[in-house]
Amino acid sequence: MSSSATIPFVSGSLGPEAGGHFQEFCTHPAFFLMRAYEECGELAEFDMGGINTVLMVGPEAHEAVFRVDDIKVSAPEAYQFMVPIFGKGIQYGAPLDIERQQLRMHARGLASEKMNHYAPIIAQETRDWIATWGDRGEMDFYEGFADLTIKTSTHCLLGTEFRNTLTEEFASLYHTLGAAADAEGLQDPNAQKAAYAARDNARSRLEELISNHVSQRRDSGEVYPDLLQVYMDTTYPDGRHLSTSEIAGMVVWFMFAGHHTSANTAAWALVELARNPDLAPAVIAEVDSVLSSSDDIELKTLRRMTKLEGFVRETLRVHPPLNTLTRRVVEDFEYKGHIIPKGKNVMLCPYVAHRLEACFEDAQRFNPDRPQPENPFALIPFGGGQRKCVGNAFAFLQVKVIFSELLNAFDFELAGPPGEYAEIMPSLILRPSEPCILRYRRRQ
Amino acid sequence: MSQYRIVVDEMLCQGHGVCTEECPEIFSVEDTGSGYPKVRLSTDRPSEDLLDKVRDAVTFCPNLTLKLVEVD
Repeated sequence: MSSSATIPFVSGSLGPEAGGHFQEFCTHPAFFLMRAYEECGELAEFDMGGINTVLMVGPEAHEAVFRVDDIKVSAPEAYQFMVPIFGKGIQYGAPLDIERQQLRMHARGLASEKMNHYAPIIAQETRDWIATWGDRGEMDFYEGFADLTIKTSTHCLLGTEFRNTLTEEFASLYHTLGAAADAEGLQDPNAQKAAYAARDNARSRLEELISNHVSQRRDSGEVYPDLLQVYMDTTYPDGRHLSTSEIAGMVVWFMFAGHHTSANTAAWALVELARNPDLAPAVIAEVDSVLSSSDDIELKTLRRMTKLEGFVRETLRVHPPLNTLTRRVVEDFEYKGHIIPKGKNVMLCPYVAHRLEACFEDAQRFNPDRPQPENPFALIPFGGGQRKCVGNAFAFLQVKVIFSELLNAFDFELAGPPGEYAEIMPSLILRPSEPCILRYRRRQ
Repeated sequence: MSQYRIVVDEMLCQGHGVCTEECPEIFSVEDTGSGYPKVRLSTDRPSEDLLDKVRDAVTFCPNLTLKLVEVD
C-alpha cells in the first residue's frame, strides 16, 4: 500500500522542479500548516523542496510521534541543520546515548531545587530594568524583553561574574547564530552564503569567550550555584567530564532553546494583557497579594499563582513560539492504517494543534481561565514526550517572575490599534510584528 | 471510604522534582544514569492524610506525568 495514495496532498505545490510547497512554507510556516490542516485534516502531505513531509494533527497523532522509538522516527536526522549552531558532539551532533547524557545534565541544572536560586536573579534583573523607565512612556517590548532575557539567561546560566562583564559582543554573536537558523537550512545548512559563514565565525568566537570563562572559574577554585557549574561538574557514566568545547555547546544550546522563545512569550503576554483590559485585574490582584507579603517570591508560591499561570499558558497556546516539530521517518511508520514510508518527514505544529475546537472550546478566544487539558498531548508549546523541551519549567518560572515585577509596578496599554500586533515568522520562531510598542504608566 | 492510587506515565517524566518538593513522603527522583532522572514512589497507595499533598504534586507537575485515580 502506498502512503501517497491515502494521505491527502496539499494543493498549491509548484512541482518538484520548483521546490514544491517550500516557498509558501518559508513565507509563514504556521499559516501554511494551518492551511494544510484546514484543507486535508488530521494528515496532510506536502513537498518541502524534495522532502515529502506529513503534517500530523491532534493529540492522538502527537502521542504516536512522541511515543515511537527515536531510532525509528528520528529527531536528530531531521535537525542536522542545528549542528553547525550548537557544535559537533552536542545534541543532534552527538550519538543518541551521548545526547541523552547531555539532556540529563541540563535536567540536573534545571531541577526544581535549582530554580530557587534562579527566581531571585530574574526578579532582580527585572527590577534593575524597570528602575530605568521613569513614570510613564512607550517602549518596544519585543526588543525590551529580548534584551532582558539575554541578561537573565546569561546570569542564571553563566553566573554573576559573566553577567557583569556581558558585552555587546556576546549579544551580537548570539544574534548572528540566530539569524542563521532559517528555513533554507532545512535543505542545506552548509550552503555557501554569507549568513552561514558569519554563523561559523560567531560560533567559534563564542566558544572562545565561554572557554576563557570556564578556565578562569576552574583556576579560581570557586564553586557557583549556576548551570555552568553543573556542566563543569557532572560526568558521563565513564567518569569523563564535558570538554570545554562541549560546555560551550551546552551553553549555546540552552541559550538558543530558551532565549527568544521566552522573550517572545513575554512580549505576547504583555500584548494580550494590554488588549484584554477586562482580564488584567485578576492577574494584577494575584501578583499584588503575593508581593505584598514578601519581596522574593518562593517557588512554591509561584506555582500557586494560578491566574498568572493560566495567563502565560494561554499565551503559549495562542502564540506558541516553535511551530515545526520535525522527525525523519527511518523505519516505515504506521499510524491508523497509513504507512508513512522511511525517508519522509513527519511534522507536528503547535499553532495548528492549539486551535482545535475538539481540544479547546471557543479556540479563537483568548481565555486565561481555560482549564489545562487533561491529555498531555493536546497542548504542546514545548513539544512532548522524552523530547519535550527540558527548559519548560524554567520558561514558566522566568515569564512569571518577570510579570510579577512588571505588573506590581506598572499599568500597560496598547499604543496602536489591536490588529497592529501581528503574528510574523521571519525565522522558524513565531513573534510579534515590529514595532511592538506598548505604553506604560507607574501605578499609584 | 474511597481509596486512591497514583499512576505514573514514566515516559513523560523529566525529573523536574516538583512532586518531591510538594510531597517528599511519597515522591523522589532517581538518576537513572542513561537519560532523564525519573520519579519513584515510596507507595502508589497514599494514605488519606497525604492526599492533599499528592494532589498538589499531580497538579503542579510540569509534564502531567502523574494521575491520582480512585480505586475500589
